[in-house]
Order: sequence, then structure tokens, then C-alpha cells
Amino acid sequence: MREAAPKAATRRKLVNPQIMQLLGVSVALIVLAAVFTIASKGRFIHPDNLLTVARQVSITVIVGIGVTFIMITGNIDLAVGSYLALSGIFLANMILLGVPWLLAVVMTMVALGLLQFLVGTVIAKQRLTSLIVTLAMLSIARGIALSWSGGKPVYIENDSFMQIGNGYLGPIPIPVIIAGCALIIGQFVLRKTRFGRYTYAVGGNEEAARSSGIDTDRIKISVFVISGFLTGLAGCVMAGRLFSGSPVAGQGFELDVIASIVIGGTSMNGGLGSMIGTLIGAFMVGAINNGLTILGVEYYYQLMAKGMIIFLAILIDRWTKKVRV
Amino acid sequence: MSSVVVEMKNIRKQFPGVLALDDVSFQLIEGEVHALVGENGAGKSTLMKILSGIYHQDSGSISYRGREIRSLNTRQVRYLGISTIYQELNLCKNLDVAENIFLGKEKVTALRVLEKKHIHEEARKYLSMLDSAIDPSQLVDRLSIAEQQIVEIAKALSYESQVIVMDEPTSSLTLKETGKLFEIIKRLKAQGRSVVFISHRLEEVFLIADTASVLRDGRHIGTKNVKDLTYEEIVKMMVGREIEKKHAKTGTRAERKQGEEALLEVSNFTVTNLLNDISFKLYPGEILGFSGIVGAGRTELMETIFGLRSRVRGEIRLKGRLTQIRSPKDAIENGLAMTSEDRKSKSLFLNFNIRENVTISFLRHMTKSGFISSPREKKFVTKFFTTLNIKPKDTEFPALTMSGGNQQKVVIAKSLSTEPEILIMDEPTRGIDVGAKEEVYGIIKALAAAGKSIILVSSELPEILSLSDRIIVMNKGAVVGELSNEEATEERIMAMSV
Repeated sequence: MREAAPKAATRRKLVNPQIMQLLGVSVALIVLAAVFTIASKGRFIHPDNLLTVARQVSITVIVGIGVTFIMITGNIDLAVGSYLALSGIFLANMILLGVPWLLAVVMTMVALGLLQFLVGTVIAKQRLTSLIVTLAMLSIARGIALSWSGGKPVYIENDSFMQIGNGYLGPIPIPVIIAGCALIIGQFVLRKTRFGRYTYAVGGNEEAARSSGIDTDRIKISVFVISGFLTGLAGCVMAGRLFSGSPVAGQGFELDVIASIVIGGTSMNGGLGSMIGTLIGAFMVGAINNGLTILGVEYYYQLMAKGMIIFLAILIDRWTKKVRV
Repeated sequence: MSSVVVEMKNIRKQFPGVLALDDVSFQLIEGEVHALVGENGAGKSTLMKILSGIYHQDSGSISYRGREIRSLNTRQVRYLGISTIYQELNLCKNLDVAENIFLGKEKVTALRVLEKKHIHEEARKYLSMLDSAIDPSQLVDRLSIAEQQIVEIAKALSYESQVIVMDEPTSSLTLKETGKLFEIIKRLKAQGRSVVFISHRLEEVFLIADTASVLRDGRHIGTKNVKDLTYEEIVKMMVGREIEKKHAKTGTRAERKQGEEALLEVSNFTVTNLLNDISFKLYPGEILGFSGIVGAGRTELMETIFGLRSRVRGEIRLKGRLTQIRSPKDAIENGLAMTSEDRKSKSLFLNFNIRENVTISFLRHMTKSGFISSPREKKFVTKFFTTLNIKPKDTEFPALTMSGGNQQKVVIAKSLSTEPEILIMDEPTRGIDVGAKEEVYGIIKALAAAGKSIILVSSELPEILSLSDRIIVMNKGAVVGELSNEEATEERIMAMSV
């Protein structure tokens, strides 16, 4: 390698591909928002609509933070949509049993955390791929939610709890605040703690991580547990919005979450990624969902559009990661 | 027989952050064996990858048999007559020899169905050109590395290749297999083909090559007939400075003190089918070499000691105390460290930069009030830039784009970060150039002089002879002999290894 090269300018300015991707997606987002605004004659940009988008995106972000941790380690979780429903059902039933709502929320988070602890342990110790295990959990969790609730929504009648999904702190909806806090904490943990660094290490090269003295099983299980807590929380927020625990909530949600994460620059192979990326990706997906709905586009076309965006996102992910030679 | 087969003129190739090739020219003559030498990062592999179509040059021209070739993909280049055989070997292990040779050129019947009958005969034809008795219906997975290499060469023949590029072909071969390979190269030469031979092992250049071209830092330094060259001259061209060729046998330890206690004692290590009742001792401040051929079990032994593998039986005593090591974490906490044989898959994080790679085992000490402090990390890592001469001296430089030698130094830095008392180094100079090798030897000697104990696993006899105080020879999973620095010679070690 030429160290004392006169090409010092090119040598120093190694443009971080991750940052490039984030910038690219941000620009795309702005363009998309502009397009929707014009097409909807300003309805997209209306504050009420933006609040709706923000609320929807909040749920994706809360779950997305957990799944980002999982994906950075090189794993995946396909069951988050089912967990969302399961959390809501669990919460609603706890409240029905008379548990104070705040405690019920905490219990829900712990319950999901425990569930994910089991899932994570199976994946780590049995060395099964997370794809298959979480695919199975997708059905199992949905089945539990449906059978427990008898297939019907479980209503929650508790005014103070309603705040969590529908209330405001000043001008900002509470779900947004929750998502914002989770995001900041998540990004901080990822970048500034040893745990976060180990997460990148396990995803980057699991064997090297083990040789370096990292307890890779513990890291893998931990990211699933974190995701469990966050999904439980998101399920509660959603239940708050719906005034009920709904057994059919979150169908297809995992696609939105994974799309957000990949658009945001997290690699499917692990080792790379950031929370900020997930945030921008979630806004992208949320904007598409919302914009197409406002414009009256039929659901079927919305699905196609979403699928194509995901496809594009993955292509761009590969394209920017490869060194062009 | 002096027509030019390949002519590469003024090739320039820029990668993000580094100029890999700067105005490099290269000429290959019909029927010659042309060695391409240079330090890691000098640009040899890059130049050949451009020739074979994997990369495209930024500027400069390539002609094959007088005709300029431009923007060809690897498949087209193969059909043109230029084949490349890589160090990592590009065979499909789940297919048999014949299927591999005809991969991409499968014969089909009129109904587009694969025709399997004739390929075994055809394959035999090419294998016999190389005087090889390999069975074409044998699964490649079952073949040794040397045999797989022969299959690759047969594949090149099946494309009627006039130019065969071999990138570090001898790195995984025994002495005997290397001899066989050279026979094959001579045959290819006799058939009028040309061979480009990339190798670090300068002794081989003198054995097999007609011409040698030296690259350094992306520039072409010179091309000469091998018979007009001396070892010192090549090294000087490669490195830009004089290097001692042979090391004096330097045991770095003074006479072992009477009754000195072993720092590490390994007893009765057994792993089913891999290790058989292995015991040895390691003393403070000594360099203990482990010699043996590929497959003798040395790496497996080290991995077991370090906690990466579980054993059926065996005990470890550190300073006399029975110690449980069940994971690398335990090993590190007990003052051990290891650099693995295959850094890319086992030790190096390609998604990390230098700083993140070096500190990963020692993060606990990089924190300020519980959170990672970048300034502290940088300060810690910068020390290693000087002691190990890592280039570039930039803590944020991505490991992915570093040269092999510098990557290896980063791995060594990581292993030293935890201040171990015992350092296990498995093939620490594999795939790195003469200059970097010397630096690593200096580091090893300095560590031993400072009182650390080093276990050195190496397949390079000169290396192990010049560094070790004692040498343990392994064969088929067992210890077959132990030699002191004075008694050890290459012949004696080889005799015990086979």
C-alpha cells in the first residue's frame, strides 16, 4: 500500500458508504413527500396527516429498534407482527383481570422478553437459523393470540391507559415520544456501549468474535430479549390506539419493519447498521403507506408498490456495499 | 519461441483510498515461466485480476497475441485462453472431478439434457496430460489440496489455455507435492504454454521461473532473467532495502534456570480422531515452536487449549494451578492470547476499522463511566502503530482494504491488547511478504525478550528454526519428538513429520 503517496487527498476522503446510503434515502424521502404533496393537492402535508403518519411510524420504529439489533448480529425476526397481536391480547387480558394498566404494560414487556429469551436460546444453543425459527414463531404466536382471544378483539376500558396510544405531551403524540426515547437509547447503546460493539462484532464475524473472548450466545440471546421488550411495548401502544387487543393486528407488519431496516442501510448479512437508518427507513415506508392511501390507491396496488420499493432498497443496498471495480 | 503472448501496458488501477497499480507494464513470452514477485499490497494479484477480467483497469491497454482486449468478463477471458488458478481454489466440492472440469461447458444432447457419459473419458485425457492418476469420478471434496490444484490445471487445459496464472500455488502444498507441481509446470512449458507464477517464496522462483518481475507499492520495479539475478537483488527490489537472508539461530533465552517451573503445562489432551494424548510444557520467556505437516493437528491443539474446541480428556495447569478453560473468554482472562491461522475468517472483523479490531478484546478498559470512549481507544491503538509498524497509521482505516501483512499486524495488535503472558501464534506470517515477515519476527523476539512465552505454529522450517528455543514435532495428532534449538535441523524435523 502506498503510504507516503502524493494521492493523500484521495486516500483520506474515504466516503463512508453507510452515510452515503442514508443521504440517498433521505433525499428520496423528500422527493417522495413532495410528489405525494403535489398529487394529493396538499393533503399529505397537512398537520393532521403528518401526525397520523408520525403515530404509525412510531410503532414501526419501536419494534424496528429491536429488530435492528437482531439484524446487526446477522439474524432476523419474522414473527414481530404476530408478537404485536399477542402483546395486545396479553395486555388486554391483564387489564381485564384488574391489573393496573401501567403494571400490565410492564408485565407485557416482560412476558414478550421471556418469550424471546426462549426463542433466542433455541437459536443460539441449537444453532438453528433465526429465519426458520422465527418463521415458525410467526404462526405459533398468531395461533396463541387467536385462540386466547377466541378470534375477537379484547376491549380495554380504561381512560388513563388510552393516553398511551392517543394522548399528547404538549403538541407531540405520546407514541412519538416513546419512539423517540427508544431511538435515542437504542442508538446510544449501539454506538457507545460494549454490548453495542459486541453486537456489530458478532454480526461481522462470529468466529472472530468468539475468539476475541465475546460470549456470542449471550449477545444473540440478548438482542432477541431486547426486541421482545420493545415489541411488547409497541403492542401496548397499538392496543392503546385500537382501544383493544386485536388478534389480527400486525399482519404483514414484519415486512414493513424489515423493509425499514434494510432501506436504512442495515445489511442483511449483519455487521453494519444504525438506528438512524431504521428511522429514515420507517418514515419512507410510512410515507408510502400513507401517501398511497390518501391518494385512494387500492390496497392491492399498495402492496405491489411496497414490494417494489423493498426490492429496490435491497438492490441499492448491494450496489452501494460492493466496491465498484 | 520468443513471441509476446500477453502485453499489459501502463496499467493504472485506483481503489477507494489506495492506488493499487501505477503505470505498470508486464510482458509474457510464449513458453516461459514468469514469476511475479512483490510484497503484499504490491499489486501482483490486482494485476492478474485485471488480466483475468475480474477487475477493469482505469487506464492502460492489454493485448493478447497482438490483439487488444477490452472490457472482457472472466468467462470471455477464459475462452480466450487465459486461465487463473487461485490460492483459494474455485472448485465445487459437491461435484466430481469431471463435472468440475466441464463446469460451464457441459455437453448436452439434442434434448438439452446433460450428457454424462463422455465427460469422464475427456477428463481423463486432460488429467493424463499432467501425468495424474486422479479418478475423474471422484468427488472433489475427497481430494487433497494438491490434487484439487491439479484438477484446476486440467480445467485450464480443457479451455486450451495458452496462459495459466497461478496465484500462490504452493502455500498449502508439501515439499513433495510442490515438486510434482513443478513437474507439471515444466510440462506445460514444453507444450508451448506460458505460466505466470505469483509467489512469496523466492526459493521457488529460482527453481522454476525463467523471468521474474518485481512490483513494489503498485509500481513495476524491474524485470530480469532469473539466471541473471541473485536472491539479495530480488529482495532489494521488492523491499527497497537490504535484508538478511538467513537468521542466525537465536535462542532468545539464556540457559534455563534449574528447577524452573513451567508457565503452562498441558497434559493428556485428547480429542476424538484429532489429538492423541498430547502433553507438553512451556516455560517463561521461551519461544516454543510446533512443527509438522498440514493436518498434523497443531491448529486443533491450539484451538483446544484456547477454548475454541472441547476435548475428551486433558488438563491445563498455569503456574502449577489447575485451570479450567472452556471458552476463549476464559483463556483470555487467564493470560492467553491467540492469533489464528486464517485471519480473514477467524480473527479479523472486515466490517470494522483498525481501532475497533484492536480494542475488541479489551473494551472493558476503553470505557469512561461505562461508555466507550473513542479518544481512549485511539490513544491505545496508536501505540501499536509504532511497535508493529502498521500502515496506514489511521485508526479509522477500514480493515477490509488493508494489505494482508498489515491485516496480520492488526490481528497481532488485538492479541497483544489484553497483555497476555502466553501468546499462541498460528502461522503468523502466512500470506505476508518478506518485509512484513521480518517485522513480525522482530516483534516475536522482542516479546520473548520481555518475558512473554510464545507458542509458534509454523510450516516454514527456516522460520521455526530461527525463532524457536525448542521445537515440538507433531504427526497425525500426536507428539513425535522434541528438539532443542541446537539439535534441530530441517532434515531432522522433516524426518519426524512424515
